[in-house]
Order: sequence, then C-alpha cells, then structure tokens
Amino acid sequence: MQLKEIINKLDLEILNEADLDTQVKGCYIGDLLSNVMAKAKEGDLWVTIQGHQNIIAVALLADAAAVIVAEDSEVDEKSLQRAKEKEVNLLRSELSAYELAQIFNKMGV
Amino acid sequence: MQRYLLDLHIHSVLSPCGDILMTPGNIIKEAARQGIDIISITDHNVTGNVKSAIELGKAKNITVIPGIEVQSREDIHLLSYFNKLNDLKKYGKIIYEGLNKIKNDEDKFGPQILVDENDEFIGKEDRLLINSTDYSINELVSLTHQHNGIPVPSHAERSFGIIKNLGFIPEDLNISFVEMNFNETIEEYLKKFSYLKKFKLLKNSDSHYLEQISPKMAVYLKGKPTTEAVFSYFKHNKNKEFLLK
Repeated sequence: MQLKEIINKLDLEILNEADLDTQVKGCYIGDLLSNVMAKAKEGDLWVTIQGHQNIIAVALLADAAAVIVAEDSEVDEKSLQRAKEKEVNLLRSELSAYELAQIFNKMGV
Repeated sequence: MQRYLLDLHIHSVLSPCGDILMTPGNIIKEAARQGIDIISITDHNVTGNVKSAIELGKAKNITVIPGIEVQSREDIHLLSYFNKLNDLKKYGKIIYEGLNKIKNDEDKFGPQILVDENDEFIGKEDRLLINSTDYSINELVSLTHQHNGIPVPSHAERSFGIIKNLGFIPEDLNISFVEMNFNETIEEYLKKFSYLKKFKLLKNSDSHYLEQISPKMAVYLKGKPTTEAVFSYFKHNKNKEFLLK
C-alpha cells in the first residue's frame, strides 16, 4: 500500500513530505528510541509520541516508510529541519497509537 | 594537593522514591562515616533540601555541591550542578514552573518531605515530583548553562537515561560529561558505547537508601573543593584518574 493512501484515509498532518509514493509494509509503535532502533523494520509506519530530533535519525536507520507523531505531540523545530534535510516523511495525527493501529489493521497494513 | 572522595547523585526524603531515613543529616553522617568529602543532593525536579544539607555538611566538613535531577519531556533524567546555591534556586524555579501539575499520592509514590537545618521535618511538597517537565533535553541543557551550571545526563543506558530513550546522544547537545553505570568498568562500558569516548564519564551511587551511599570517584585538588574545581579536575584528567574501581 502506498503511504499517500494512508495519509488521505486518516487525514494526517504532513510536517515533511519526502516521498509519499513509498510502499508501506508494516507498523511499529514505540517511544524508547533504543528499542525502536533494534526492532523497527524497513517500510514500517513508525508511530511515536517522541518529538526529539533523534526520531529522524532512527527513522533513517530503520528505513521506515514514515514517522507518525501520535496524540498531536509537540515536534521539536530541529526535527522538522532534519526531516527536510534527510528526506524523511514526517506526519502527525491527533489519534493515539492504539487508535491508529486499529485503523491500519482494518486497512490491511 | 588533597584527595577528596565523591558521591554526586543522592536522593533525599524530598524525592518520593527516597527512603524515609534519607534526611540530609543522615546522609551527611553516612558520608562522613565512609570518608566521603563531597556529595550532592540531587532530588527529582526540586531543590528544597539542598540548603539544609549544605548547612548540616559544615559541621562534618562535608562539601555539598548544589545539584538537582530533572526529567525532560522525553522522560530523560538530567543532573545539573551549580557553583552557587542561588543559581540552583533560579534554575529550580524555572523547572518547577514547567513541572506537570499532578498531586502526589503518598500511598503509591511515598512522601516528599522538606527538612530544615536541624534535620527536622518542616513540610511536604504536594506536587508529584517523579514526573516530567515541559522542557526538552536540549532546553534543559541550555537552561543549565544559562545558570552557569554543568549538565550531566544520568544513568545514560538505564531507564530514564538519554541513550535508552533517544537511542544515542544527539550530536548538537552541549555536554561534556555523562553518568555511566557504576557496576561496570570504563573499558566494559566503552566497548558497548564507543562513541562516548569524547565525553568524560562519571560514576555515582544514585542512592535512595542510606546503605547505597558509597564513594565512586576521587579527585585531587589544591584549593577549596568547589563545584568548579571538581569539574575542572574531571575535565583535565583521564577517566581512570578519578573513577574508583
């Protein structure tokens, strides 16, 4: 499934657009970045409430399809800059990680 | 040159997780018993027992470095040490303004007790102190520098540690010191986190009980054992010169 289908369906806020045609292969949820580095897989939608700039590096490392910041959490200015520089899809939703996961599941992610 | 033993991360009864016996007076006594010369009372997000500890330390010739352990909005713990009590207080005021306003539940978290210069209970802090503030770790580091303080991320690889929560230490974070696991040798630790070589690594007990207090570092100083002198020693000497085995 293409990332843009999910963005349209959920009306996600686009904080940085890199490649919205990218293929989504799965989902990973986590806020402890050391754990995300070890567990997230290529093509995952990574859902987190962390807004620190390190999320961009972690998304790159995991080769995630996108970072989705849940619960309308605050995203640091530096994270926006880094997302732009490093071309990482950075999205945001007012929904919780649980609510997002339910919808992804129904969509067949 | 005089040798000083240190333990710079101790929680008093003001921290809800600090044991009821952790009054500043008892902490000073225990430090004195073990020959520790320099300590820091680093309660969670508050500074209320530091002045009493400084005063109580004088009688036993123990230096109390003004300090605090603050939780960032990423749930990272950051120790900050200051030269002057007044700078700590100013920093503490800003921290308290940014601390989430949740009432402490003593049955769940423990009491948060303020102690005077005679080591007697004088009051309680109502707001839950083991909680995060609104400030990011980068903001806390900047605020510490603005108050002439020294920021040291606590127990980096453990829960509430910067490596645990952020995966690695952000390159642009303006720090020179990181608190490492006191159970490991510097060699073991650097094997796991080789990029920490560029920092000076500190060891402290992070005591919540009297029996946990113990010296983890030693420094040699010429003049008065001030915060500045201690950290200048760390800066200008190799890790193994000041880390005890």
